[in-house]
Amino acid sequence: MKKNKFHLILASFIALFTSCEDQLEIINPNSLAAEAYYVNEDQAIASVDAIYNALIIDGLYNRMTPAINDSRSDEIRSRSPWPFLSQTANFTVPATDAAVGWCYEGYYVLINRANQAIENIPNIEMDNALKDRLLGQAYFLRGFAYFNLTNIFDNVPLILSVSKSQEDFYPSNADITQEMIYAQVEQDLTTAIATLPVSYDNLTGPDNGQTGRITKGAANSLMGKLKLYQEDYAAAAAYFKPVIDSNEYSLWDNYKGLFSQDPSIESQNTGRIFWVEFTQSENSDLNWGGDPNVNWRQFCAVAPTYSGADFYDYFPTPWLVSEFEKEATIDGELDPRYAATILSYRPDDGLTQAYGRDYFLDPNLNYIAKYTLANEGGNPFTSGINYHVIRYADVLLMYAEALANNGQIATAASYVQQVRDRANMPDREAEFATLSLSDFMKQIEHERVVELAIEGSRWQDIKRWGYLTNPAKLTELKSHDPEFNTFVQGREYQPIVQGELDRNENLVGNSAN
Amino acid sequence: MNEIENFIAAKSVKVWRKSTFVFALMLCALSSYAQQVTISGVISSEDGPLPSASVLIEGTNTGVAADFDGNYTIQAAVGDVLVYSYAGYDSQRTQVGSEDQIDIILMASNELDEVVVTGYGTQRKSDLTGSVGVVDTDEMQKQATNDVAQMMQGRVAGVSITTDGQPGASPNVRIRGVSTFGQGASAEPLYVVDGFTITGGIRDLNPNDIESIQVLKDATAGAIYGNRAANGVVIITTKRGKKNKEFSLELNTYYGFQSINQRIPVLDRVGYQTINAKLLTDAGQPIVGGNDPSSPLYINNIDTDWQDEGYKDGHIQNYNLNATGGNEFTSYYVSLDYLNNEGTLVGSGPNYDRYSFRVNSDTKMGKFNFGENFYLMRSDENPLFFTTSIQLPGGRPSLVNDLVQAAPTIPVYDQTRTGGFGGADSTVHQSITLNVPGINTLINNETQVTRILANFYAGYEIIDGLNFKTSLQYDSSSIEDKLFVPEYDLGYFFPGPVASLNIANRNSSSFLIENTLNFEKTIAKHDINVLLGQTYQENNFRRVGVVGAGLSKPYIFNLQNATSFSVTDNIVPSSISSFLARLNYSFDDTFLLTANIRRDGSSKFRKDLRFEYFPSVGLGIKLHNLTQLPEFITELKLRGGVGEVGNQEIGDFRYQGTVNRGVPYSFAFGGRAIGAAVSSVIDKDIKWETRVTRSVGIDAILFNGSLDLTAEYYSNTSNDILTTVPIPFSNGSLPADLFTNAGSIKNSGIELSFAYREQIGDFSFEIAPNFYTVNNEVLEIGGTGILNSGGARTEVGRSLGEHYGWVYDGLFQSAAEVDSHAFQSPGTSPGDIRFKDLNADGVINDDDRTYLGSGLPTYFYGLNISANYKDFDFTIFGQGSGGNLINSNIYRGLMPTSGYTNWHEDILNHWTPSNTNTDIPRVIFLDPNNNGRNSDRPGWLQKGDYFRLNTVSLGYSLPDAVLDSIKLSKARFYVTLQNLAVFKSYEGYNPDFTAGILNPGFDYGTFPRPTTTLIGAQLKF
Repeated sequence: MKKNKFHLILASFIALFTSCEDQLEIINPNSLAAEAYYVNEDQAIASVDAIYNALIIDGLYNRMTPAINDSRSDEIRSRSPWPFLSQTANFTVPATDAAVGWCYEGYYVLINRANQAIENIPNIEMDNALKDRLLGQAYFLRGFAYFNLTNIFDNVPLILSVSKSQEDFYPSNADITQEMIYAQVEQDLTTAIATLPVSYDNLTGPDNGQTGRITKGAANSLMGKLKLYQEDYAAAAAYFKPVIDSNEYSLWDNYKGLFSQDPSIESQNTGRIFWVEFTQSENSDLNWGGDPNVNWRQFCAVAPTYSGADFYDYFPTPWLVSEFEKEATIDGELDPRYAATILSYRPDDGLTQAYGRDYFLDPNLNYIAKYTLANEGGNPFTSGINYHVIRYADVLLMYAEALANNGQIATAASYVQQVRDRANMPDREAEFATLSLSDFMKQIEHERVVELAIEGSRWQDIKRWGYLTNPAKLTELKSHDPEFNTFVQGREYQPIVQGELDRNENLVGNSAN
Repeated sequence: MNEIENFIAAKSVKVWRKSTFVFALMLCALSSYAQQVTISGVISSEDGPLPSASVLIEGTNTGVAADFDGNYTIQAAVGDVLVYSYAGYDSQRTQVGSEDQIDIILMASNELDEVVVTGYGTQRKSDLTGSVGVVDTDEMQKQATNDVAQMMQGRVAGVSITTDGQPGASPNVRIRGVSTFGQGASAEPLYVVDGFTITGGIRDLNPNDIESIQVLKDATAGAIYGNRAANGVVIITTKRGKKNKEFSLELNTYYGFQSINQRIPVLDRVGYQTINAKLLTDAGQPIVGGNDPSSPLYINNIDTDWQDEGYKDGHIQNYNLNATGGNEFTSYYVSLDYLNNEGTLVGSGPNYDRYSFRVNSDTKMGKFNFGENFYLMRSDENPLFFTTSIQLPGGRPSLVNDLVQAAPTIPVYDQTRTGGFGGADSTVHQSITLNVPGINTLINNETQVTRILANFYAGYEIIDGLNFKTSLQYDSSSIEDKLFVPEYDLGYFFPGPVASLNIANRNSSSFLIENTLNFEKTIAKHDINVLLGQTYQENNFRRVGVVGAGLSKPYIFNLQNATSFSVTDNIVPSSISSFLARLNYSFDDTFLLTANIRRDGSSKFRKDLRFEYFPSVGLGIKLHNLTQLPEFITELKLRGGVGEVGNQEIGDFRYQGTVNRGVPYSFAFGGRAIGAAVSSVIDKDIKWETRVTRSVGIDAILFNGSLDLTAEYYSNTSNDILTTVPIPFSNGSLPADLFTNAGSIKNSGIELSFAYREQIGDFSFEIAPNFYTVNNEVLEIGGTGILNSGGARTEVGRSLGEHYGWVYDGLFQSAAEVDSHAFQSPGTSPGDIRFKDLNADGVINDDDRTYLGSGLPTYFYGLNISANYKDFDFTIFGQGSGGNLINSNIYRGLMPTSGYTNWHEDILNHWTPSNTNTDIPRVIFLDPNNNGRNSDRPGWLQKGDYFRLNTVSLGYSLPDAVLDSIKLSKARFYVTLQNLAVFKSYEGYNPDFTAGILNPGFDYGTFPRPTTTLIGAQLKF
């Protein structure tokens, strides 16, 4: 009897043993397994849409990419109590400041997503035209990310496939040069140009009508810009020309409207080529960064950072203000682009409003208006103004610059005047057509400042034009913006954040480290 | 007298010593006899009859000794009190009534034969071969708190408890050092309550219900709980009824006032305005209006002391009613409890209310026994909100930092702002500080917990010595979190334009089944105890949260009133299946052997990496039974053991890669697309983290029990530590790290515990100090071999998270000194800090950083002194630690040389051309020399050594004569002062703050702990 009982217990032990161990296999009930993904058309589209999402995080166009470029230029100066902003502006930011890494980190998130799309989409059975369009967008965005990365950080590691194991985790940049990165950008853009549509209207596929996706025009424009930066003017002109000839773009006559957050206004803009969409108040979670979720708002933080009124982060330099005062409109009035760019109390020019009400700020100071809500109302902390990465006026001015450097100054002058016409500036095409190259370039420089002020262009322009290595030009920059007094050679790049160097023994710092 | 002398002679020497007091009473007593009855019965312990136990009529010299089987017979009068005693057991008193049969069960009292719960059974303490720390729960319960874990602070050598001072926050419990890189649950010990492993901490438990707490510190003791024992095991046993014990009712209650006496000295309005104006002026910047005497905006009528405004008096009160009793088959314990704690911060929290109810019962009938523990609790809490949960801008520091840093020129109340609280204006103040009493009043944060912790066991004795037991446990928590944020305006940096309601439901349940077979046999000199067992545990957790935004006034706290919503849902199932076996063997009560083995399978690892074996072996030798020892040594045992335990307290599904299918981007015209991406890289090959423990120790009882001593050396090594290793950002992984088995940490040290007791007439006392050291060394880290966390660096060969930064070398006194020193920064000027050029390359950069000291305390101690004099009892208890340096965010946040927040008084002594004999650098906007960087400049790393006077308590018990007249068996009244003083040089509030693993020396800002003045009563009917 006792023996039977014992056997019974033993048997129940064994029964429990086998049944319980099956219970240990639990599949994640929250998310789909990675292995089960990338099998159909919808998933191919989703993998490309996710790349766009990286454009709205802090390190990219939510805030830091514009802030890093603009604050180092002579257009604005910083009084920010936040050391990262003020020290970036005067070229003294240390590599140990973690915020130095946000931009770097953000672009590699984008690159990782682009690499996922580029690796997986070719294996999906789907409509081939759609597949090409999707891959074109992925290649463009990856090339664009490397273009910005190398312009900000110089010789960054080139990651062209998804990191999977220890062998992939620690890339080196020791043998990487900016030329190699530019070559990769060119390769990606070449693929993109070949596969992207001119427009998303009248397509067959779920992306039909989705304005805001990357087009052939955007890819040509960026390629032209790359060639301009490489001083290959013939090639640059050859890429800009089809953009202009496509008749997809024109200069919209409402300059201020370019920076409106009202979709019914800004969507009329016929000159947008590549821009990042933002919305002011939909959804709850702020899109600073980290792993995204569907509650992300897609707001832009450039507005509170640039406003000056709240945080004293950035103010326009007197030189920038003076550039607008150099030339009046045909009607003898202040350049209309002034009010869209700078916020100040100028009753003589009819400027008596700020943030949708009577002027309440310090009347002796100038503040930034562009990309802030100075000309709008509402919560000044989350902006819905779309960020224009490449717009038509920029393409026209870059085309003019390329033509001029190719000896076609007369043709170039007409494109410069086109941009001036929108601002109601006097017709000086004939005068420009006769200028020497150096004088024409001075005019181009001025036109770029007043047209593209505080849009991230000026810093890259003075860098590529060699102003930072030219003592006379550097003295001029110092007179525009005393922050250049603490500029030292090598500081034309942001340092690679110490945290990244600590994480990766194969990585070497750049000239700013 | 002859009879008495014979009686004494029959006792052992030990009994004689214990009976001195009784004997003295006997000698001086005179008695008269009336209504004599003859009483007989059996005196036994829980283990069986007690031969030669004594019975004495109280107040007389009449007594008898029981025979070999515990039988006694005595003549006494009705109304007499019989005192039953036996060496090593608590005496018991019974009043003689009409009955003629009184059976008595005496409970063991002496350390010598103390029984400890070791997991799946009990063992005499003297037979242990592993490291088991026993918490003196009587002393512990003199402290009023809602958290059992906090009460353990300083009580056991090798156990460190830290808390961030925030009321209601769970403390960190670390046993024998930090053995893992992991945070949260993965570094916490395993809690076993009434034999069942508990998930999710023990905060919900009612401290009044606790009978005993034991801490299993090494694998010899803990390997039986192999799967989760890597960080040690805390075994909690709740009170139970005793058989054959009359019904008794007990009421315990206390009420205490709590106040915050600590203040950090900060500047008043004038001091604040002066420093702010100076640092702006010196940098060529305009002075902000509110601080500029020449401005119409200048503030001269507001001078807010934010610490006074932010702290208030709180209180804590507790009412506990319990009943116990038992007959020859069944015993029970029932308890009802209410705890209420109103916090010390102005605003809606933190407050904590807990209602709890417990029934424990045990029944034994013949070969069959069964019982249950049933615990039901409900808590209503207003937890302190977290700045992240209400999305305040700017990555807020902890609230306490905001409170002390707030500008004194901002008013607490301002009816012109939405919500009625003051805030900074961008043109008047520019200050980015949060009105802490304001936000804490505006928001409403509630958490309700309903928890059922119920278990049942049944056992059967199959043959003599062979027992089968099966146990089932169900532990279920239903938690509702509500956070309401109204529209408010707390200044330009803290606009709150949108009202929101955040509701979350957290449901967790855990089911556990255990089956054990236990065989116990004594054959001649061999004592054998074998345990075989099988367990299976299944946990389920789900959190569903909804945030509704856009509620309008007047507010209705229902999500239907919101205009937009976001939803989160997270499901976390896990399970563990295990087999276990243990052998306890002793030969001749001299040689001891304990061997454990456990095999665990966890759902948190891939199938082929899921199972792991955890063995341990311990040896002991009782020298006093082996050989003749010097007379003062009553008992002496040597013991040692080695074993391995595991850790799988990690997130679930970490080995499975997933796709994030919620990556949104809106194209033009509202075309919102939801993208998908694999966000993070994963390691599919993760496996168990293991910890090898080794310890040797001696346990001694000296001078016939006057002095207990335990000394122990331990050396533990954690291997394959499961942690997140940073990987380069260039991989694009979110987050930029890899969860993997990486690294190895060693902790070693000594532990000493003493208890010395003495009785001198009516006065008795016990002094019980404990002391231990922890020497932490990182043996291996994955990746680059270096982990950085702010100003802390972890590197192989050093301790976790050592301070890392530049070396202070005084202040520059002249421009010439700046020029002759290595280049620091373009803006470096006299009055700035000179940092050492460690690599002598003429530039001060990142390469000039070095290790600046340990962030981990290296030694810890606790001291409990208790004394009794007649009806008075007294306790004093304190604890401390030292050997570490603290990087105090709260102090450093008050010493910036930029900005518009308030300063510590120390800033007044800043360098100026006329005040050069100082170590406080000049104040200058934007700090161009980066004087604020991580360095060892004075004040930046502060000594962490401290001693906290935790409890001082004085109690008075009513004498028996009074008790009899009011029909009480016990009445004690007491006054307790808690957290009376902290002796420290540290300038933050708490030197024993809760820290991160990789930056253990960083105090990110912790709330001061209140001083509590408590009165209480314990009444037993």
